Amino acid sequence: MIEAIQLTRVFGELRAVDSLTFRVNPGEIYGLLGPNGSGKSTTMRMLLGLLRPTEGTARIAGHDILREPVAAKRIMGYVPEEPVLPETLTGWEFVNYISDIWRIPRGHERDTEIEDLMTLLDIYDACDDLIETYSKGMARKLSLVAALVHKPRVLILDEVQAGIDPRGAATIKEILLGLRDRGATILMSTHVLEIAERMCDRIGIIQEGQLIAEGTMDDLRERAQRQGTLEEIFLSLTGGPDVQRIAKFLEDVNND
Amino acid sequence: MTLSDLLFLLRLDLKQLFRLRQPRGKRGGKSRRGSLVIHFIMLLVGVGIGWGVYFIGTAIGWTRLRPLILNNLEFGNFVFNAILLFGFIGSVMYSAMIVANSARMEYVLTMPVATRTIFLEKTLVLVFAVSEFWILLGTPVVAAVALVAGWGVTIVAALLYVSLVLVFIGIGVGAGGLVGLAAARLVAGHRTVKQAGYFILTALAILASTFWYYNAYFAEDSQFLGGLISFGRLLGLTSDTSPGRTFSVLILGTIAGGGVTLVDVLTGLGLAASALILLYVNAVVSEAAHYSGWLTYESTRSSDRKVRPRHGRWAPRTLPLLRMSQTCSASMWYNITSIRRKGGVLAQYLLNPLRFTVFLLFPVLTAPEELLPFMTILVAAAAIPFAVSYGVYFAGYETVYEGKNLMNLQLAAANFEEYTKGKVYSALPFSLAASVLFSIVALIVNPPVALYVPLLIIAMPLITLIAGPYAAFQAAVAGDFKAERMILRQRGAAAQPPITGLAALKVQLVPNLAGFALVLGMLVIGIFVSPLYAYLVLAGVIVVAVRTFRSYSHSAGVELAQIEASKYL
Repeated sequence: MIEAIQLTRVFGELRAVDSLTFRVNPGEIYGLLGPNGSGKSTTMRMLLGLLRPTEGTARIAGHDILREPVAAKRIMGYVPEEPVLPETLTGWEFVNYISDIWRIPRGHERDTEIEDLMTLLDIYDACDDLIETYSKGMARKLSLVAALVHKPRVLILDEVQAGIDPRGAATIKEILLGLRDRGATILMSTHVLEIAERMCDRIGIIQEGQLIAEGTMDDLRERAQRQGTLEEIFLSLTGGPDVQRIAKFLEDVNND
Repeated sequence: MTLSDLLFLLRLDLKQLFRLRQPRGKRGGKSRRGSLVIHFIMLLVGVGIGWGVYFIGTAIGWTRLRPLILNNLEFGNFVFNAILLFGFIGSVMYSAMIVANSARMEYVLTMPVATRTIFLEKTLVLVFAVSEFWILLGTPVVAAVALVAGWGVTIVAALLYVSLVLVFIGIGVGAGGLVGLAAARLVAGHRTVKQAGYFILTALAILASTFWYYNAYFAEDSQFLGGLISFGRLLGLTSDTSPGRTFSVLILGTIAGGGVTLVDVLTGLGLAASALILLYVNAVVSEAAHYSGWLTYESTRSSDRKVRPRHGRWAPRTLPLLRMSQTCSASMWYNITSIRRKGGVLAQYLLNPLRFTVFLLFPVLTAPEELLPFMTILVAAAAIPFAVSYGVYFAGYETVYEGKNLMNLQLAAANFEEYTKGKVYSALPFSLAASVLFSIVALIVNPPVALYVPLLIIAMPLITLIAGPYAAFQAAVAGDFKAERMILRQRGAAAQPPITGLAALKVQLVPNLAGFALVLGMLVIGIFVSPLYAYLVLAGVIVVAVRTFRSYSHSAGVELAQIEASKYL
């Protein structure tokens, strides 16, 4: 279980995350949505123990991230928005390096599991290549393998499907749904609202660091007082496009 | 924090740092063998020097060498204190950079290992990286001296030397890291102050290295060594109460079998404890800096300005008397802006030529009076590499560094000839400023030279007009468009030259030769024939420079357009 309790992060005069409180239960996929710069990544970084909150705290399966960071990290897996992987390692070496840090016993069983995961995500063919030669999508798939290799109970995924081919995206979706059904706690952020609508059990929308809406799709529809897709609800809550300006731009294009 | 985690991470990182085998994969990557070869060469040099020392030592004989060592146990003060100093200077900014770039090791930071352990491990890796030079070169030398005494003491002396190098570098890295973090904290969030600091430090480093080169090449051996030792004495490097003295006494005393007191041993242990404490404190401060986020604040946070900015009419400045197209003026504005906003880059570009020209300038200052007319030629000669380099850097290198914009089609609609011209024009104000400065120097050295000052001031920007488009053309032909403009980079990161192969040589050689031939030719004609003729030739040089400028700007533009339309489409 993930609990964010009054999480606040201040940068200079900017309150990037402002008293954010939410909870992700075991067996649940929670989608954290919001416009660019709304505080999603900062929130995730605080949950992961990468950034210290100015106020408030977070608990991962009951472990306070500030007081017991190592115990909390032991049960988490993380895929960052832009994975920066060690370029001088091969894919195979990197996953084994991560497995070693997790102290997963070396041997046939571990090798087979890594091989299976890499094959599942279509990167096994490149496992002996240096990471510097990987495309962005391949690097993201590799980072997912590294996040899953120790079978975490809690997964934090920042834009995990961005830049992934359709087959890879479908595979990831099936993996995450399967993990959820087996009791994993999954927090994911995405800008692709169709993905969030199809995969997430509950959704939290943050804007300017504050949680402005939270719940299932039905809860959100009720909150927004309208039926429709998640995209329509999201835009009605966070503010839609400036139609007048768009019209003026298109008019200028026509005139040119 | 556990010792087992620390050692475990250290083993993994060192294995990665010193990769012995090439990967087996099919996808081509950069060769990793280069750094191994350098290590091997360093070791070979160390063994070579060691063999020489052993040869001389055995020739002298241990019975005569031993009293010599015992009477001069402080002999190594200078060298060992220098190791400490190098360790310190070399790592002043690295801890701050490790923290600032902690996003690059996000994976490790989310692992079930204490953050402090991770920072301590990274600092230890830095200690090993800085130490390897001294260990690979110094251990064979120490072992060779000890070998003259006998096998037994050799291993002890070598191990002691390696341990003490690690201790000294540990102190240097620990202290330097703390100083760097403190400095980084002071300037965090103040971009202008930071860039001004980079400019000043880079400029000082270039000036210092320039004087170093000059001394190394021109001072007589004894004077150079004497001067170095005097400078070292000034810094306290030869002091009898410095850490280097303890290092020297412990090593040489162990080899000679005497002269080491209990105080020396305790001081050595004290230094080892200081190294550990400093490294640990460094890790604690790094962890605090990482958590606080102040080092990444500037680069990763959105602006906290709530006020909607208002802008005046967009009108990038053009050069007086020149009619420029929109592409040309935008290209010139962009080039100057992107360079001046990086203090370190600006200092590198503006002052780097000093490293070559110092050899021409110093004789001017010490020349006898009867040679002064010729010194004017030397001053002009010293100005030429500046004019050439500004053209090469601003038009050649920057064309490559902006290659990413070629790849993502940002520049697809641009007229690349105008784009190249803009880059060349951006170098002209700096070239003109340098020519004025050098003219002032020439006037001070030899006032009658005033007659040639206008010639010099006009000629230098003309050289830039020749060098810039030529460099841009070579950059378009042989530029490594994946190269990044990295003045400050983390240890171990590869430096990519922007222009590769023979073109790298051509961009320096051809414009410099042309510059020397044209400018010195005019001066020689002026001095030996008549100043009037020098100015007449200048008119011809203007025509040549403008034609070359147009011709190579066009060629560079065509080449860039072809790249944009073929390779990156």
